[in-house]
Amino acid sequence: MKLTGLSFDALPPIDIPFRYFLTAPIFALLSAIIVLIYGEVIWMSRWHPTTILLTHSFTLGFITMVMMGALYQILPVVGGVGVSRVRFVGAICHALLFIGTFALMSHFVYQQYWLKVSAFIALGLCFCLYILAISLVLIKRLSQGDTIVGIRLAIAALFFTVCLGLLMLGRTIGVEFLSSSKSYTDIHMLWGLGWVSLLIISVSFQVVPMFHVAPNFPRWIMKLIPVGIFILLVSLLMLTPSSKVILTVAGGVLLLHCIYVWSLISILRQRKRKIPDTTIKFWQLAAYTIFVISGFSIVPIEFLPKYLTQKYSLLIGASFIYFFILSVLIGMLLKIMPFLSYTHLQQKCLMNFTAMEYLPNMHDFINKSQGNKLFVMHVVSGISLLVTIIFPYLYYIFSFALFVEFSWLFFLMLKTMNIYYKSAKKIQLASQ
Amino acid sequence: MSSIPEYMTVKHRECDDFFTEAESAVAKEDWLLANEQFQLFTKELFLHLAAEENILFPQFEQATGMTSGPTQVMRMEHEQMRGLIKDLTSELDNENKDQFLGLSETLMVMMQQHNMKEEMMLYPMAQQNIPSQETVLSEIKAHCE
Repeated sequence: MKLTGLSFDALPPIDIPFRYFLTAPIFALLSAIIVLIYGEVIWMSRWHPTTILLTHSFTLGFITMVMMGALYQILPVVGGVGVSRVRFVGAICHALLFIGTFALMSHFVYQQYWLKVSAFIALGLCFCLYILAISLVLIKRLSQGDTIVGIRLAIAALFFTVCLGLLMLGRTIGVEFLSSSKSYTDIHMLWGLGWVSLLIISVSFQVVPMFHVAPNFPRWIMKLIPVGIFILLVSLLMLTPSSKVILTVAGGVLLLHCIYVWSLISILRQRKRKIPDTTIKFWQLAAYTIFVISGFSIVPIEFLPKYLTQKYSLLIGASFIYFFILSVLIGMLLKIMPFLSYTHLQQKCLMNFTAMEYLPNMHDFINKSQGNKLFVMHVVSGISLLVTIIFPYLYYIFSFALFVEFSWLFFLMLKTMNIYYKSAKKIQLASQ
Repeated sequence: MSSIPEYMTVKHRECDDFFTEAESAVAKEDWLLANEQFQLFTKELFLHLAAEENILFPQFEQATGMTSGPTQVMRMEHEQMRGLIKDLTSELDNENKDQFLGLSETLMVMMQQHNMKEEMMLYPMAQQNIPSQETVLSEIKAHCE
């Protein structure tokens, strides 16, 4: 382990991760409006432009936004080294991601050439800068082997996802490197889910034992799962794309997720900290979702009713995104936002211990009851999503549930920020 | 427990055990048990922090020449933990469950993050760099037990 460059307090300024976190619910709320405006047509086929619009609003606007913001914070904690010039990189990438996602979404609605070009340039620049900045940290010899290895693989997966996405978008503006095979969309989607999953899984190796005083994951899980997922995804690039290859790889990735969540459930069961905790509920929901999806996908298709088989891939994809990925992200936000706020305020008190009386505790930012309400809202909106996929005429219920859930999350974020700034002001006054 | 990282990590887990017991007891409003476990926790933790500050960190600083780096951050975090423990003790005396659990959540996450840095970075670095490992370990054991 190299001693130079190691910094135990390389936390980025709080406004860097928070600007990403605070922007994310805006895209989720936009998604609710999209569902309401476009109604039943979204749920007819996954190839419909409005379906792709909704997917990108969630995957780029919410999921990638939160994960990019969180990574600035995670790297110094698990690796001991933060992103250099983090304020510049964080602010520029955030602005470009916001503009690029918005332009991409608008392109799916208005099909304007300049929107496509704007999305291509903004997202291209955003991810180039972000991947470069994070890679410069990851190429150093860092501690925390398995988590850092997993984050490296996740960033590589993000790179391939972005390349495929930009190449597909480029095809429509005259930059034609790819044929128009629909398999590339599947490969892009699988790499995209891979980037999110790899990051969630690798980071969970650290945060689950840390936040819940649980034992460590078995070494073989930490070594095998991220590498296994990555190798399967790489095989997609090596083999000739076909629906059979894609299905086989997706099955393999799902199997590895099953092994991972089996271990996750076992770790959570052995946790020493048994007091009620909403984040645990979100982890459990995510874990059991993988079992349900796997059970559903091994049932021979002829045994399933027609209303399920017609929407087979949409149901599986939506369950994975909503109940696995989003559950983990929202559960983690409930922990990370209060903790970050607390840590930054506490650092302001280091030079003046008397100001510590103005420090709020974690529950002052978001209390248990507020977290529990969010969990209930998430389950309700998730169920309403699945019901809407099967019975599209019920879309307005999903739209409403989605709007309520993410308004509540947005409110909790704003409340946390408000308490942070008020307390910071009091601490500053006490220190003068 | 033949090495500094092993011994110190076991001590972290012992502190976790007492702390989670105290926290669970408060959640159930078993104030007698909560007091008992919290006292065991603070005793164990303060011994551990003092062993680091007075024995391990000076040896580390001498061996690596790093006096204003990792150990300084660790010392500051120790002070922050002590501040939180003071508040927790006061809430425990007042039998204020909600306030205690809000503060205990804060201390728990802070402690775990702190332990992670020590176990994954500082202790292995100490093992690599401190020449007289066995003497330092004996000194730490004598202090803590």
